[in-house]
Amino acid sequence: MDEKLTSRERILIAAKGGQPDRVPVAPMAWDYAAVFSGKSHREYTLDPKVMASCLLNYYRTFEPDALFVGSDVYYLAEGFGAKILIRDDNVPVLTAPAIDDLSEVGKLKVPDPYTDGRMPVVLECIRILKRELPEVAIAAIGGQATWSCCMHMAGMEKFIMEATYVDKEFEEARPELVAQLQELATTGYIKWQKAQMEAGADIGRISDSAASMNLISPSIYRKFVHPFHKRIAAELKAAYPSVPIAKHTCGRNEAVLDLWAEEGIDMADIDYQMDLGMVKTRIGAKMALCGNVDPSGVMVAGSVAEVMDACREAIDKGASNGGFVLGTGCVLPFNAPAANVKAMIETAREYNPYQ
Amino acid sequence: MSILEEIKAAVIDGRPKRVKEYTEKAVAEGIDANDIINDGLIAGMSVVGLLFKRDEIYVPEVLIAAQAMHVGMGVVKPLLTNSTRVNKGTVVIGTVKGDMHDIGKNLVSMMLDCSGYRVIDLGVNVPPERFIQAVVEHKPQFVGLSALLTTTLPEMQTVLVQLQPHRPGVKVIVGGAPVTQKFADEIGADGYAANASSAVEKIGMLLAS
Repeated sequence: MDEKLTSRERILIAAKGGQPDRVPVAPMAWDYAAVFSGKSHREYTLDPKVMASCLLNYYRTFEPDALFVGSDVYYLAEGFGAKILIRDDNVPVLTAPAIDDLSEVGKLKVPDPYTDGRMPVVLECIRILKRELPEVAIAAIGGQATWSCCMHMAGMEKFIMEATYVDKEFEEARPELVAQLQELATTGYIKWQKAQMEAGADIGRISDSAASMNLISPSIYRKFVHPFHKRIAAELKAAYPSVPIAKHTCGRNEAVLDLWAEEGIDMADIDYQMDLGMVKTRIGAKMALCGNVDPSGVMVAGSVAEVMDACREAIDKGASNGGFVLGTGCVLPFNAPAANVKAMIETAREYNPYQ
Repeated sequence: MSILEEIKAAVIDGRPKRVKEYTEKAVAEGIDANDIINDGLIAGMSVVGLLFKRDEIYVPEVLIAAQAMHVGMGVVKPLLTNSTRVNKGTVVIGTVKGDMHDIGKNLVSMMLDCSGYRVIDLGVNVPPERFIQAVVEHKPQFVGLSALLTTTLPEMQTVLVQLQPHRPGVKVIVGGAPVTQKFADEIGADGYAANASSAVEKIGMLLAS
């Protein structure tokens, strides 16, 4: 098909709420590109040239409208000193928090994205992709905004409990220490996103996987997540006004969608656990949406026909009046069959409600 | 309010300091340790499980209630002898190899523990051999497998296949964010539970069947 817009133009129009020539399509493929290209997760996450070449190979095979750099959700926490296990056969995982107790928060220093952990790998990968594929949108990686980063730094269960004690004003609460940790995470996150934008990322991200109602409560979201996402979005917008900000939080978040709409973000990546039609009705007038084909149930386990049906259904629910990107409702698993990824991309090209 | 009701209420509210204080008071008053556990600590946790199942509270409330209950258990457990502990059955549980996530698995462990099961929690990143070893050693009625990542789901099937020769009479329950009933059926698991409360219910139902 002869297309008028470049992928980058198409994504940017949609991310800002507009209606491009067709629905842009961008499955959230990180390590998928590594496995598809026959590289180990270790090589992909540690070597910017490998990461870029895998993403280029993935792009040249499938021609999605955007590429997602990076491999996991621990970049910032690792910079703060959390321990990450890098493996050959699966994605990096967190093995130990940066601190054992909140009382140690004073030891933490905001990392430098140009030198610390694996952040420089991502920055170099963005620069390479910008040179090689200027016509394709590059999405920054989250890895991760305030709430999740605090959990990774201080221990997941521990931080949820600390925040809950503060939320409920229990005598066990240590509000100053919680606030100090959140300040560090937020400052670090803004620096990390700005560095990616400086390197050339076309879309900024507020990824906060664990700020999900599957794990926290609306009350905690309101006090411990919402103000920080708002601040991150405002600071990034002030520095890079033309770069749209996409937000992703895993799971079911019906209870806090109204708060999302007040955060100053341009686009929300909708998890597959939520009904896209419902989200479109509730917040579709205030921001663009991306989503939300089920990454495991459909992209991995489904047939090509099921993928095509799910993609058409997502387009039917999300694409009206523009402001929509067809995507996977969370990270595309690296074991998804290539035929399914191809079917997703092709469906977006062929099933065009804007024609 | 009686002291046991105070303990129960403090568990429901997730107040560790209060639970400790009331539990110590109950022990000092000579109340039987099993009564403190069943009518105070577990009674409180059962209410929490019910509220969670009804979507009236969220995970943070369950976590702080569990923490409060643990503090109380720490006070009374040393007073128990083996013969006075209830044991409905044994459950070996763990997060499969490659996956380090454990908040959901810990909730299941804790709810089973306070529902009277003996729980052998193998932790995270558990290879199939360790599940087999634990089944041989502890002779459980149930094995619970957890996974949060779509990439570690296939590992559940590996565990099931490798467990096969060792599991006559052992039922395998699976759960975790990407797991569905359909997936559980496909890999031949005996049960699927969507959350910690339903895991306890499922195991209770399978035990009765």
